[in-house]
Amino acid sequence: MGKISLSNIVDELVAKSGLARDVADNFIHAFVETIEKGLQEDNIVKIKGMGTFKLQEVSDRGSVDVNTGERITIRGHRKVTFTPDSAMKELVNRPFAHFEPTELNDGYPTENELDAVGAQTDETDEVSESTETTESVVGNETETAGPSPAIVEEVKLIVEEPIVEEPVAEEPIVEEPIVEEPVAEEPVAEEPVAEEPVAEEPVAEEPVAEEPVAEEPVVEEPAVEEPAVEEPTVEEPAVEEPVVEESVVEESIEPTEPVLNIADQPKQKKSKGCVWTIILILLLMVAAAFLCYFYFSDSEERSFNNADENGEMMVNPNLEEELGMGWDDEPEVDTQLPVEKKDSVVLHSEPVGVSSSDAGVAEPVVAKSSNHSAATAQPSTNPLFCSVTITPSLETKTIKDITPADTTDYVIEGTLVTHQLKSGETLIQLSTKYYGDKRLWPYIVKYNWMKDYNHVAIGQMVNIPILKDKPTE
Amino acid sequence: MNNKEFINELAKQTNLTAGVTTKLINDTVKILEEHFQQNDVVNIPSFGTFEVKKKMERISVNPTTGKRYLIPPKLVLAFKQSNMLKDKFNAE
Repeated sequence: MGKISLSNIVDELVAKSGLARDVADNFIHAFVETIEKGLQEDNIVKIKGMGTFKLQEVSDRGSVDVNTGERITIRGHRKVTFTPDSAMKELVNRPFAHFEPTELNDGYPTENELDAVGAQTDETDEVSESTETTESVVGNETETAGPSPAIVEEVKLIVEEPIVEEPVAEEPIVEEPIVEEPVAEEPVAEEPVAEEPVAEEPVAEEPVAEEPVAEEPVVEEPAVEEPAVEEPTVEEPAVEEPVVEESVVEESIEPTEPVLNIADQPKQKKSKGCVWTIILILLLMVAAAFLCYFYFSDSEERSFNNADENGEMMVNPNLEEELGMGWDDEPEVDTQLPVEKKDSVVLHSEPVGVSSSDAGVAEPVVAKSSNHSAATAQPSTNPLFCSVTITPSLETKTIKDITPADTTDYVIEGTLVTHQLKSGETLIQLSTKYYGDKRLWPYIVKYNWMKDYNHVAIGQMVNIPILKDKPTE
Repeated sequence: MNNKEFINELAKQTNLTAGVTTKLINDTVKILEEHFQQNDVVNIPSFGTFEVKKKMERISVNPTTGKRYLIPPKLVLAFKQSNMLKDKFNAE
């Protein structure tokens, strides 16, 4: 570990080779000089067992003077480098020769693994996107499947306008509780206990006051509906596809109201006891949901209703008008129910709803009044009556943020407006603007026969269809 | 200038036979090796210094596989030219 000078080497060489000292000294100096000479001639000198001396060019480089901070350039020069022979290298490194490079598994992810993780996340994103697209496809399918039965039913509607019209007004109302309930039910579960009677009375009183014959359907309808209503509340959170689910629910609900009541009567009678308990429980839940919403949005709702009554144009002329009129019934029903008997309520609420819906003002009134006056023919009165009695109870649940969209299938009836797309607008925005629900954009796509609805051009003319509830069988 | 040329040139300068020169060169290299093995610093005036330096262990990553390796420490022979030698080659 000491510092060895040239003279030490000469001494050792003398001891080793047995040469005279001056000869050995001469040899060592000649050794060094020969290396220099060889470098000057060939720029490279190889000595076996020792290594390679090379003369290398170093180009100019910029630097900074440490003291003054000025920029200076270090001139290029030539420099002697030495690369030891492999034998020499091994000899020098002998103390550490037993070490070998070892691969590390210290838990840090390598860059490749990180890349792989990134790729995975990308894949999941793609998957989610694909599921979304499939959902929309499903929506389209149901939509496309709709029209044909709708046409058949429209014919029925014309024949039985009073019966059908009411469901038209009701359906959106009935559907919304589906959305509301899961949210409102549980948190408010306790409140209804105190306030049940208020909501229950209308339903309970009405049948009693009226005809005993009519009672059964009245009682049973909610039974038919609400189990149907409840199931989705359980399913929805699990299934994640509320749109599809709800549409299914609607279908099950709609038919029950006007048509199936009659058919269901016998079945329901048998299990009346169970049904009663279920009804009571469900009514409690419904009342809870309604009360919660009603109290929260009371003021807003009133103003909304007033606006509607004043004839201000809503964004969605057709659907929301009907809905708005449906709301108009609410306050009246609420106030009158406790005071008046059922008949008057029915008479009162119905004409309002009918007159509000633009088509067939006279017919329904006549039909209903005749129904009421007669009140004997069960099959005719039942659907009517049922739907009417349901309306107050369910209406009470529905409050402001009623969107015509999410739960129903719609029939396209003509063009509402032709819209020219501006920069930054999307079909979802159009759907939100004209229907109040972003989920209805597929109808716009369908109505305009758009092939590539993900890429719409600025300035493109888009026909906004008029959507009407599609009544199901 | 390869090893043979170097031997011939050195033999010519020292007026020795090539065989003797070869033997002397090998002896000299052996002597240097011994010093290097003892981590000695060999200083040749007007030429430069030979020194054995220890390189510390380090972690290296294979860029193609991304695997990480621990490179063990090692001893390397380093040569640093003297200023005289530097001036000699950069005189002009």
